[in-house]
Amino acid sequence: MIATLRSLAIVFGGITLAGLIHLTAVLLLPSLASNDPWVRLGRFETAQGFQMLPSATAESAPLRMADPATVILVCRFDLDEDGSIRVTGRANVPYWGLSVHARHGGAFYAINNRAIGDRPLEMRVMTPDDVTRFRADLPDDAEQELLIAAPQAQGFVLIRALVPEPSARARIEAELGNLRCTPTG
Amino acid sequence: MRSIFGIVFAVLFGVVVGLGSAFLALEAEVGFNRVTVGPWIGNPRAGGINADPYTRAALVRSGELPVGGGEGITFIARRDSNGRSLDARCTYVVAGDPPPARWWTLTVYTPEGRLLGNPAGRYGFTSREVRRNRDGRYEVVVARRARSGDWLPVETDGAFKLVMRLYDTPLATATGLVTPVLPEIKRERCA
Repeated sequence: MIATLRSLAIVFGGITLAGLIHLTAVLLLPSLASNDPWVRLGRFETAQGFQMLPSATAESAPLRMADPATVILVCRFDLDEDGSIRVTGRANVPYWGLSVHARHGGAFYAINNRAIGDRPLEMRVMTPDDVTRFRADLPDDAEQELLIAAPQAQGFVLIRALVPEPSARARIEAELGNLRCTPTG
Repeated sequence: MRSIFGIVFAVLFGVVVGLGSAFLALEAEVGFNRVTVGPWIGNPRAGGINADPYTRAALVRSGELPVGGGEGITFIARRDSNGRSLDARCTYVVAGDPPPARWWTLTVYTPEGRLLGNPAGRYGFTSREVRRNRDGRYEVVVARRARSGDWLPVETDGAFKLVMRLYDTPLATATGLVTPVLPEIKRERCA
């Protein structure tokens, strides 16, 4: 009788432990990964500000499964060092989509050129506390700037611009050169 | 003595089965919030901060930053509309009505996610490039041999996958409220 109870306890314990380890592994993997998107994208960094990733070909893909019909700009930030970052400028292209990502890759904000309209892009990425402080100091008639609160200090801004046909690529790359990503701190 | 063996066994079982099943789940790309349209599978939350833990972990592992998370949505097809695996020895016709998006692209990849090289240098089509008939319908032929019309070459002998990305689409934010219109993948002759 006791032996049966003991084997039952062992089986039950083993299965419970397996479940716990399964969940822990899946939940912790993003924060334990040494090669997260922030680290990977850092390899393309040659200067401060936006980096244009090399276009994807069959031989090399700067970003796994990137759309070959896009031009991708990346600007990494670390709000502990940069204070906040400003993204500004105007790029006259058929489509761009901007997303702001936490270090492990998840996007917490996205906007595209249709939402901006004819105005130039003006955006600040800051810590939630800084957003509150910045808003309080703004005069009532201040220019509307997009204020984005980042859940983590480290992250990156990603811009994807569509290349509707290959012959348009050079012009689109040149237009994207008008976009700036600068630390303010 | 016997109970120590039992405990050691339970712990070993827990570690092996726990880690093994986590690994298999990520390899199999399980995830919640899937949207299936014919042969196309997409996850509107993939790439966003509110994606499920499996999708998030799989993406960090692969290094992919998919079009998603409010920006658009990525659909992947590994099978044709009749459920048969895509095979480069066959010819496929991908035909449909314009999907609800400002822009879309159709691209062909190896099963591992690399672009398929070809002399034409064509990896896919954009919504601007495809020819449409009067109703707006388009038709892309996916085949090894050159074809007239919109031809997407697949220079491989085996399996491949098709990826359809919708940019600036209501699908990315309102799941289930809009029925996605995605093309059919019809298999024609096989060599």
